[in-house]
Amino acid sequence: MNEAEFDEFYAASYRRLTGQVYAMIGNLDEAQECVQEAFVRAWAHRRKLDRADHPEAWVRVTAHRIAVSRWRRVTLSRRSPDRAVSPPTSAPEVDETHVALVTALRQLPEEQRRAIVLHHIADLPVRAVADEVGAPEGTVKARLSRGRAALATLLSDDVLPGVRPGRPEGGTSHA
Amino acid sequence: MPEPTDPFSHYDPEVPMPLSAADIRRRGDRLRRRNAGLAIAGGVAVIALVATPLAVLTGGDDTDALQPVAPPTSAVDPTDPRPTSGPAPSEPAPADLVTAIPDDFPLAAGLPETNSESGEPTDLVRGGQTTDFPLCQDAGFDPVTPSALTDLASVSYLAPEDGRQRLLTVWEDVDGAAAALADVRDTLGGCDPSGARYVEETSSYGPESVVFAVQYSAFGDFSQGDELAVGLTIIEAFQVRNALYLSRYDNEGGSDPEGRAAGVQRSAEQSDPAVAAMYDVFSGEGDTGPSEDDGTSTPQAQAQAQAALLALEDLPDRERLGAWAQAPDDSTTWACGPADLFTGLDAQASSAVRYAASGADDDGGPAIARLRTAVLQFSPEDDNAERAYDALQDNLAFCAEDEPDVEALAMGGFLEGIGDDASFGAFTYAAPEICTDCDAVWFDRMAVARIGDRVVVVSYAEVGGPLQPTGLDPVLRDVLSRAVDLAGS
Repeated sequence: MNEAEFDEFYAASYRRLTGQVYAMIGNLDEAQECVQEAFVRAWAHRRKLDRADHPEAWVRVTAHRIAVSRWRRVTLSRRSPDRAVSPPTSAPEVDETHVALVTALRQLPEEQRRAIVLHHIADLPVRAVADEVGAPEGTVKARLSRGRAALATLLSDDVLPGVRPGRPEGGTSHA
Repeated sequence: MPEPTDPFSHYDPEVPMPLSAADIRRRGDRLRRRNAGLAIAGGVAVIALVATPLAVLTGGDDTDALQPVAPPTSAVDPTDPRPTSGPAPSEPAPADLVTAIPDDFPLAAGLPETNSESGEPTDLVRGGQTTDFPLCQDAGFDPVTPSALTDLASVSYLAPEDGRQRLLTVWEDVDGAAAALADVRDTLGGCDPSGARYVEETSSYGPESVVFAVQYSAFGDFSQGDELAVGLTIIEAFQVRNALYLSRYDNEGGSDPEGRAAGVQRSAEQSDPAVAAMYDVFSGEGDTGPSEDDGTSTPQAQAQAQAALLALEDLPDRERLGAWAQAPDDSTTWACGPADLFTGLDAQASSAVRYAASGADDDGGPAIARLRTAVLQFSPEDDNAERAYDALQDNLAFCAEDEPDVEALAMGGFLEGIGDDASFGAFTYAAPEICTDCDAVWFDRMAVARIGDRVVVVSYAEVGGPLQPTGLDPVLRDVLSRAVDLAGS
């Protein structure tokens, strides 16, 4: 992959990948940094990228790994995350609909959330999702099914923001 | 109730692009240069593998056979103190190198004042031959080095069931001493006489040293088991810049790993005064060698790292494998990555050990399973442990790119619930030591974990082919968990 090809790849996929990682981790600022770091590593190891069947998946998996690693470090050490890639940016206003979706996704178990994002946002078929997460297809289907059911509850008009499925508040009923 | 897919169909958040593609590429180039520096800082090492097309390997890359790069040497008589006639060193020797052994060097420290049998004083003796020091059976130390020997001294003590011999050699430059140390490692590692077994032990002196334990069989071989081993010899070699110290301690015991470990410990304690003096004399300005024991000094950290290593009883019990045994520490047996994997990580200390096992029905046959593990100790005053973990994790993710005969099975992933951070990679490479006209392949899982200020690395491999042996993932997880428990205790 030469410079021009990489630049084109970056321009074409950065925003899409950031949106996907944002949906996975629920923090747009963090998602931007992790995706940028993943592209830095992609250029540093571009021969590996050339051999990858799906370069975009390669970057997305790397970004997700970086995000999880940084989250762990913050959680365990209670230090600020390493802002080595770029100074903190102020993200633009995000559409309210997106906020509701990302907030709901954050309430799912991580495995379900990731499967949902890869299948419904990244538009990957189940087999590709299974390859990317390293799980059997049946397991992925189960996660998708459970995740969709949980999201349906979380996103229904009858559920207040922040209320977890199965614990209705104040007599509110939901499907 | 709205369909859960509705929000997805319009999911397209507005995302700015803070860094340009050019900025990304610049950072990537810096990262590549840093990683290349880590890989070559310790010298050039190339893994030699012959590729065999195998159905189990992913991808269709063509592969090249790599040959190991041998360091340049010249056959110079190491006992001749005259200037070398061989190739000149690539760099001028530092002006502060000490090329003569002081008269009061405490080479005999810790030894009885007189020999038990002869009554002769146990004094330092100058001159002589390096071959007077036996390495492999009776064959003496006879290294091939690129630079000349400038001084030599020895001391020996002999009593029933207690023989101790020490040799101090000083070379024209650091390369000479390093080559001599490598010769000791190679000679002992390749020594395989009848009735004796040479086993490399973990050295507490760090990478510029080697320790071997020699067991002797009462029956001429070890077919009756280790418990009938009689006698134990510990051979140490330790380098400080252009000086190389060798010690040989013939004693009893050694029929089991605990006995060997005790023998190694005794030998290290006896060598300690001479080792300390080597730092004082040969290390040069600003390097005062091991500091006082304050819990953070290198020897203390080294001992702690060594104590945290996996032991035989921690290794997996697999039906297809015979008994595990400690094996010589071969730096090429990391699944993937440079031989000097830890160079540049700024560890206070590191310790490593390697184990191997033959097939359950092939006792004494070639190893079909091997495990290598290392513990790196870092200072609690900085974040070097985290940086080292990041660098080693990067190695797992990208090392196969630089090694055409090593195939990454997958990008690997995180391991939940182990230490503060843990991740792994899965690799395959040919197993020509098993056979060259078959499908034998090493299936290697390599993992790195951080627990506090320590980093643990584990590489676990079994031979299969063309199918992968079952259960490797849970085995790696169990072994890494145990290694992290030890490191965190």
